[in-house]
Amino acid sequence: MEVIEKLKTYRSSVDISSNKYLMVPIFIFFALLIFALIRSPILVSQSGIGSAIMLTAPLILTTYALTFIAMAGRGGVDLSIGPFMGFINVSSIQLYAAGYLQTPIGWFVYAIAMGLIWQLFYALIVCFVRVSPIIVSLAGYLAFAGINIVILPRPGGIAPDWLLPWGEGFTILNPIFLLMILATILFYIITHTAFWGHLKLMGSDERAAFTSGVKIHLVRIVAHMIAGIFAALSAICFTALVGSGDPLQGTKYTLLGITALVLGGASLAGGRGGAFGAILGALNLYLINYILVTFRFERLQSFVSDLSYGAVLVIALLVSLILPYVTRVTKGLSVMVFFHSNGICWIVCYATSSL
Amino acid sequence: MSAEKNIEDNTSKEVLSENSKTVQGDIYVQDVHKYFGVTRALNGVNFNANFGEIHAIVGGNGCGKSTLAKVLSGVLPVDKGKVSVIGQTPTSPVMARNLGIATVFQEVMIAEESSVVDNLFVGSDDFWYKNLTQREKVLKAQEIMEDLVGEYVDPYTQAFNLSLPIKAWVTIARAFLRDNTKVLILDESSAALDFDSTERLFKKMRELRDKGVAIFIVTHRIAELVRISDKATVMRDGKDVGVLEKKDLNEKNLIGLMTGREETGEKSTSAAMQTKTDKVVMRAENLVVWPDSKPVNFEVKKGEIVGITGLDGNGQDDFVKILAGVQESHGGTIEILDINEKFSKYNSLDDAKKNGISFVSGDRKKEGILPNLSIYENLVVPLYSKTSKAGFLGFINWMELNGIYDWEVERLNIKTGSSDNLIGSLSGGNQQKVMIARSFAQHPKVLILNDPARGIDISTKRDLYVHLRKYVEEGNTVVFLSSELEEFIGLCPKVIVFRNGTIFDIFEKDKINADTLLEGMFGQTAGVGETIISSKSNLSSSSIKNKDENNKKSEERKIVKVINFDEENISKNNNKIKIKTF
Repeated sequence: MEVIEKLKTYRSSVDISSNKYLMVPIFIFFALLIFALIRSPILVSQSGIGSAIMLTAPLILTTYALTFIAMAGRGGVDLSIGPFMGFINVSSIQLYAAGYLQTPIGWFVYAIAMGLIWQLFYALIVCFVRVSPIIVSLAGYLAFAGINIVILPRPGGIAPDWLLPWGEGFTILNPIFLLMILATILFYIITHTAFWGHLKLMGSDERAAFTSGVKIHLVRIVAHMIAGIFAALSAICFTALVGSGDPLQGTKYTLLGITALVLGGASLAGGRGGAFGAILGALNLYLINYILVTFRFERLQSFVSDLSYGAVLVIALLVSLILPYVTRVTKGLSVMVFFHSNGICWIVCYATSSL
Repeated sequence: MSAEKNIEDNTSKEVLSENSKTVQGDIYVQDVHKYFGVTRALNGVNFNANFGEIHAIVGGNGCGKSTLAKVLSGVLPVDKGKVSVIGQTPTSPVMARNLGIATVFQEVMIAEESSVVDNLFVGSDDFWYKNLTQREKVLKAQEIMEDLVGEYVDPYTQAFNLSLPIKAWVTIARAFLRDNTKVLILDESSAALDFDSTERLFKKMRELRDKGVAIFIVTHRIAELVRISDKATVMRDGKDVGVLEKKDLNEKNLIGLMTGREETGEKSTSAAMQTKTDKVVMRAENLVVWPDSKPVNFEVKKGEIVGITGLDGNGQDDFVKILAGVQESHGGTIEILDINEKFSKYNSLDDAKKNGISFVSGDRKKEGILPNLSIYENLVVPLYSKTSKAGFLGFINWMELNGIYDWEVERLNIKTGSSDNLIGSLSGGNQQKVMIARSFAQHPKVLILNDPARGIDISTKRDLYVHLRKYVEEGNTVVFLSSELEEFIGLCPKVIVFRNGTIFDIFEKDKINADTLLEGMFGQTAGVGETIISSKSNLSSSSIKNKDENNKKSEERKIVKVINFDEENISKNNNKIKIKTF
């Protein structure tokens, strides 16, 4: 009897079923990784990984931010996030040129404060005016895109001296990487609070959460403000990447971020998502782009990239349709085990093919 | 139990506790009103309860039981009156939670994407801090689920993998997991549970009662509540009509109070429509409404109005939807007399329409009006293709439609402003008239009405009945589902009562009165086909109860096998006036 009890306790101490949705992104990740390695093995060098980190950092952080907003449910996806990152970028550059924000701390404080203010405003409208979140975020998208052009009509300005080396991406251990690690740790700390539980339940069934005594408005507001922090960090990484002010570049992060969010297995309907999925989604996008670059499409490059993002997105969604079936078949299989076994499997494939 | 017998024995007047309205209990509701638009869900209800008792709230469909439960748990604010739980008024679910009110709602509210343990402990934590570690939660979840469900439920399983009874258990277990519970409200919580499960639930409820918790149960299952409750408040039309103490708590008294003898005593002035011919126009053979329910055989004659009723979620609405071709059956055939006077089978909405069947739903918002179109367009929209001109170009023939519109509006006496106004500018009753006019305009042979009179005022209802009579006199047929039993009296020569997804009993002519129908709905009449409870009036009350319980047992076992609860739920939801809480 005791053995059975222990077994039950063991069985119930590992949560293996709630993140089965990660299987699809994991599978796609390894498939792309091996393909990328076959096309261009330089990916696994110091500079290869360094530039990968530098290029994906803003996208990963954007996806973190979007994860919190999508988790809160009501089909809320923040379209405004790209232009908003652009706003932080151009306004910081202009303020820096005007003699403000001379210290790194100043930059961070400014960016995070802006993130909090905008997301608080956004959340308050969604909660109390009861407009559909998509309308609010679309309005934000258009407004910020316009404001950015007013602040800085054409790309220009220069990032401060301390920030420029961050965006070089020659080494693995650069400040951008540390920033990302810190952001990920913050994410994991949040997932271990009760707040995360409220957020997940609210996204998945707002009525159930409300009638069970969850303070749904407060949860939504806090989720948005956390998203604001991540969006601010993302904007700083983005500024490091471009090294100047750019009113247009930020805008594309809206669509890239949403694509990465969905590729990472998060549900746009709410209640499902996490840091690991966000990282995988962003890395998958990076790898697709990396592979396509090796084909040298020249002028068609961006067109082919967008086409492939779309194609992979559709494939990922189609694969997720069979996910309930996969979940049932692989009842006792943990996602981590799947991750490692997939890794080993693909590496063996790679090794044999390169022999 | 015959209807006459019931009325004779009805001693509801004497058994009412004299002082129940004057002494306030620990928990009381005083003269509470709650309106949803024109519908008066609560219309001056009084309710008193004390700690350490199991108190049942009973009544027919739509009498405000669930609304009262929602008011008590802070989900719905009241429009007028006073709610007091230990001296305080719960105004939000958060506050109700802090006051120690735990509610299990009728809808199985569960976060499908989240695990069982997360669902169980929803709302138990502070905003940032967990009051219990995950491990403690898991162990507690395992313990309570094993205790209640009687089998091991993996606490990490995501809720969408669970069957409906287990989901129902999760919502119930939520309430039992709280340690500060002082008031427990169970709204139709046993509906999805089988007999053994219900027994386990009752055991738990008794334990809690003995600890001094006040428990309110809202249920349709009379036999159950007679067994478990110490007291019962009976409601009718949003008002409390009586309180029964334990010693007076039996089916007879309850049903007597629910129907309200003094009101049904007055005879309806008009006689029921008499069917003139014996020609069957529509029939169903071995029709299976739910996957596991008994097949239904059904016939309706030319020029007949057939009433259909049943307690919410007993398959009557699924049945009429199947007849109308809106929903698919689980077996059996439905046939209609076609133009060539031959029976032809149909199983789609398209076929149904071709054969002259028209369907009007009482759920105007969901299945009726097109809210962004005008009154005119709402009325004539199905006629566009019929009246179109110029062959494949299909120009809409406005001239002809104008005539139809004017004719129907005048005939049904619809009070409209300009015909170009949006349908939403009309009152609910007039909207419903437009829906009926839409059906009449297609000249159907068979009109199927799914609770058309819901939420419309009495004069509109009378109008509606007059039109139905005229329509039937012209040799057409009406299948009329209603949850308001009074509507059948003086209109339908035949009323069919549904129970558990099949025909339970059929009442004709004189037998149609609210008392008998209600008894039928609660399964207290002889039923058709098999004698379920025969010669019951000769038995002593205790053996009645036993027999009833056995009968329940077998019936409820049967229900449990029906995996179709989701559908039942959906249909239930369709039937309710949706209450948006946030």
